[in-house]
Amino acid sequence: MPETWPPIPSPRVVVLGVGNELMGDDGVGVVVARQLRAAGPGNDVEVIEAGTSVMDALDLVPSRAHVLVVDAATGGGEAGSVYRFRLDELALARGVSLHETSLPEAFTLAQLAGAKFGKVIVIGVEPARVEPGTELSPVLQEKMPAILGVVRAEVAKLMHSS
Amino acid sequence: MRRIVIDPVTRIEGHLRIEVLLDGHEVKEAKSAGTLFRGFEVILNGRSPVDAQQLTQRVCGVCPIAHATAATFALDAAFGISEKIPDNGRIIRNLILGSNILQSHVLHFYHLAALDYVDVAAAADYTGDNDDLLAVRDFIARGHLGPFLPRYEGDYRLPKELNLKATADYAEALRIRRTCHEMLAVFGGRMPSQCGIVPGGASNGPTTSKIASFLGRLDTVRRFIADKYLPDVFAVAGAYADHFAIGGGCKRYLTYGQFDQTPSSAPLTGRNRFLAPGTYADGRADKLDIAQITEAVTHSRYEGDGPLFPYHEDTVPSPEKKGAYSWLKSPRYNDAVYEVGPLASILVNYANGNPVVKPLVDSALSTAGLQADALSSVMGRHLARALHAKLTADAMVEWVGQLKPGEPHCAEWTIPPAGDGCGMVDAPRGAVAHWVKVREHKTANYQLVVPTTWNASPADDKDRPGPMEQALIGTKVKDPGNPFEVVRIVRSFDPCLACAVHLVTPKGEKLGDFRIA
Repeated sequence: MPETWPPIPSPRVVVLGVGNELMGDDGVGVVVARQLRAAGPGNDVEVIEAGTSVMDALDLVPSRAHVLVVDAATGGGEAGSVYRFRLDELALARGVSLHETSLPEAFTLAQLAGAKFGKVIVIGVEPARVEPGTELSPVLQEKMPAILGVVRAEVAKLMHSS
Repeated sequence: MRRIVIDPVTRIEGHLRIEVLLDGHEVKEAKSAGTLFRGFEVILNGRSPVDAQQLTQRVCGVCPIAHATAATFALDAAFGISEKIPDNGRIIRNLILGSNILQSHVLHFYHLAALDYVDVAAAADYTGDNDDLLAVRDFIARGHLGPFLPRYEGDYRLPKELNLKATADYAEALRIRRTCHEMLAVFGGRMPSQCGIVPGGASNGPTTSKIASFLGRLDTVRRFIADKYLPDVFAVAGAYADHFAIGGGCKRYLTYGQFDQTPSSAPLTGRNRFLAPGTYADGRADKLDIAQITEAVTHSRYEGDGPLFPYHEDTVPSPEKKGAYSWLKSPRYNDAVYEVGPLASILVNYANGNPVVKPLVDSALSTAGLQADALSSVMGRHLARALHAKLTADAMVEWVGQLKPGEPHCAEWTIPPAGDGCGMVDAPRGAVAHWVKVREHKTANYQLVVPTTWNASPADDKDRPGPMEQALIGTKVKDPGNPFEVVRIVRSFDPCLACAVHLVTPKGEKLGDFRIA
């Protein structure tokens, strides 16, 4: 264990894998994050497995970095459908439990605490099966290369945006 | 009779649904329904038992450390090493858990509870030079009221200057929780999914630089708790003194205790903990006998009736079961209804004469002009949570001082062919227990009972409502169109439910449901 912390890299784009990997397809964001990291996300790109701890993970996003969130999303399409939306296109509400902190809420709270973000884009994947289990459904496994393609294209776009 | 449903449908499942039936303005019946993650064995069975420490953390983004702690205690027991944990390992576990409890309490009060009492709109026309208030003002100006919604208007009582002070503290609280996570990562390696708490002790030992790094941050957090959090709770308590008389509920309390002071092979009751395990009812504390814990499923969507000891039961879903209205089971103790949470810990240890708890609670009661029984209430839960944060943070300073760099931090162990273990501890929101069965070096069964299973449980085999339901029954609702009393009671329990899944839904779809029929 070194006595001094290594310098923290300051990437331009952060990919945030969100979801509960113990609940089947709900964890698709985490699986995407892992595969992206294994394949090499590219220079200036950092991949964070946020899991269900979105607020905590936002603490790790460097100031003014663009953020690409990958999460399961119920948009009404077929399983494996991929949606792209801006953060402000998500609904926002305060529930009765800390466990209901939504994605936009987590970003807003981070901003209230002083955090600065670049662009925030959400890639949502329609789940087929949300139930206990660590494996993705066959549908999502089959679509994984396509999903990764969308994510990579989005990362490239963010790399070139100001 | 009018029916009010509070149903924040933010996920496919995993939410808490509260239904109350009003007779005039009084709650006659209350039903709390929810989903908790059961059937965990599906995932853990057949894996290395050690995986439980990492995997159970992922059950929940809000109290992962309590799950890691309970899992690790269960594994220590199953591996036969509970009495061999070196002091450094024991203390580092306490520091990691403590850091997480502090962030949870601070976040709960400011982000969830305080907004029921503090009017952040007071910052709308702010003209001073406090950066946090200016930021809140700008959020309001841009229509970004999101984090502050849904508001239940009509009962904001604090004077404007106190609203402004608490709103500024709210923004600071968000930074304090970050500081708590940094503390946690000093010994836990990372957050989320820390890897410091492991069977045998801690994965890393103390060094002087880690100790310094931890203490500096702890000092910041302690100052916030003493100078902001507690005074804000007292300010709210003063303006809402009537909230010491509502939402009491079953008035029986149970805690598994927190922070081992000596290693012990005893699963629970033999352990010397900074906050002792026990029960409290009728002004008296008692020892805890874990054999008295049962779960009924009479009104739960599972086959059977119960009550059975949690470890000896099956979880067979029965969605259409007659009379069932919740996916939660009904844990009971000694055939009675018990509430869990920081209030339980405070009351048990106050009645025990715990030398740290007693003077702090006495001083808080005298400041607020209250008797101890007033703590069994909505405001009592908030006050107890704040006191719990204070005494935990203060004790952590002493524990850091007991670390010995260079000495062992983890005992040696191997996974035995067979073993059974139980791990129990209080999470930030109450008693959590894990049970593990090891066979052929692998996990053969795994069960968890989490805090909100106790608090939000449905009626049991004798039709006795759960603690949250009892807290709601009899409540006077001033305006059925704006039932803030109901929401305040539910929030005071700091319920944990929606951690099972995490889905987003693009705008346009209905996300909240608040209807009166």
